[in-house]
Amino acid sequence: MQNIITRKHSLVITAIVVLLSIQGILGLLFSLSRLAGLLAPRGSIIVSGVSIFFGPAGGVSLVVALASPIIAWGFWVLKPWAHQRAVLIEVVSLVIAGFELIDPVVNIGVPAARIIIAALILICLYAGSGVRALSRA
Amino acid sequence: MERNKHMDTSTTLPDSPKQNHASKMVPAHWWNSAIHSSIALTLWMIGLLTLVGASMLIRNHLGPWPVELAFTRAVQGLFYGSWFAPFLNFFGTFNNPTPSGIALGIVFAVILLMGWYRQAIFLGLTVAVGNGIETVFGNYVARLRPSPDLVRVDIMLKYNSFPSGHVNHEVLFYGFLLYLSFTRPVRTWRYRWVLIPLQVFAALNILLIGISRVYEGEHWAFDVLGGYLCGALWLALFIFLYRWTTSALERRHAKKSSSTPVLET
Repeated sequence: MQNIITRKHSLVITAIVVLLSIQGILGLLFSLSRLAGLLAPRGSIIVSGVSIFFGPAGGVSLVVALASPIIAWGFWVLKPWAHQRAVLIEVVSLVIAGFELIDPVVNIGVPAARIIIAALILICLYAGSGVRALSRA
Repeated sequence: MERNKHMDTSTTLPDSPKQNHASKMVPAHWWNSAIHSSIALTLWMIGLLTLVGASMLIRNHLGPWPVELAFTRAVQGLFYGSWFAPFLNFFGTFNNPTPSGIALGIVFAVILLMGWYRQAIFLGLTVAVGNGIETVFGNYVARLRPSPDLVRVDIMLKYNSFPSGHVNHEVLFYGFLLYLSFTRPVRTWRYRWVLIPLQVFAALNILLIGISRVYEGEHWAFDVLGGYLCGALWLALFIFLYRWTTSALERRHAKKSSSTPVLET
């Protein structure tokens, strides 16, 4: 009985899991299409200026998309590492959105969606006391 | 504190032979370390002077040297069989700025999410600063790319030829990853055998990128050598800084934990 009570998920954790799953699916779609665009044969071989950062940002966004469901699972099973990693990928996600905003090829909706989801997750991470307590478990 | 003092006096007395021996050993160890550091610093300075000297020399002689022309023609004229030429082309294409940038982003993010923050930061710094310095040398020398009139050129590029950016980047990126894979925590990791194919891939990248650049007609031989030297110099510097930071943090951590009072149980 004790186990059932402690393992019951709060609304905030459920919201984080749902948001992370959405971030994972959308991130996979965005990052794969962006990487396909970057690696297209018509693209220039040597890059210069701010476009140097678009390749690394594409790689990081793919890893963020792949890591989101893993961290969502971590929250679902109440792993202590989930909170710290979630904060990390949301901060990274905001940085990627910053690069996408200056990339003329990327539609403005992509960084906007990324910023909204990351902000919502960060609010959830710091709003719920139960979620903060998870990181200290 | 009392407990620590007691433990100290219980192991060695101030005038005991063991402590005297230890105090004599410290200067010897310090001398060894100082000699190693001096040799390393001297070699690094010789490397830096060689790179600066080569840059000045090539800046005053932008065209290909006869030995470079002969080398490129020899490399391009060899028979590689049906598989080795695409193999060389793969390393050249895979290490173009965009694919290698994506690879850097993936590796950086994975290391970061594993919780190895210091390693991720140093990887990013090594590649960013090393490539930045290489660009400074490239802009100073402003050497032209190989001409299709002299050798076979796969893709005509317009950017600086000396030192080779591809080679420099591979030495920095894969070199630092190889170094990390040989550090103690990774060496003693239970699943370290998983890294063996990646280590082989990294070593192949570093070894074959030079010959690939010459084979594709994108660089002259001295550009490639300059790229290896430039990459090795900044890689060595950042490995030194990484080790220094790691040991400084460990010392600080040890000092902090030793100053924490021990609770009586």
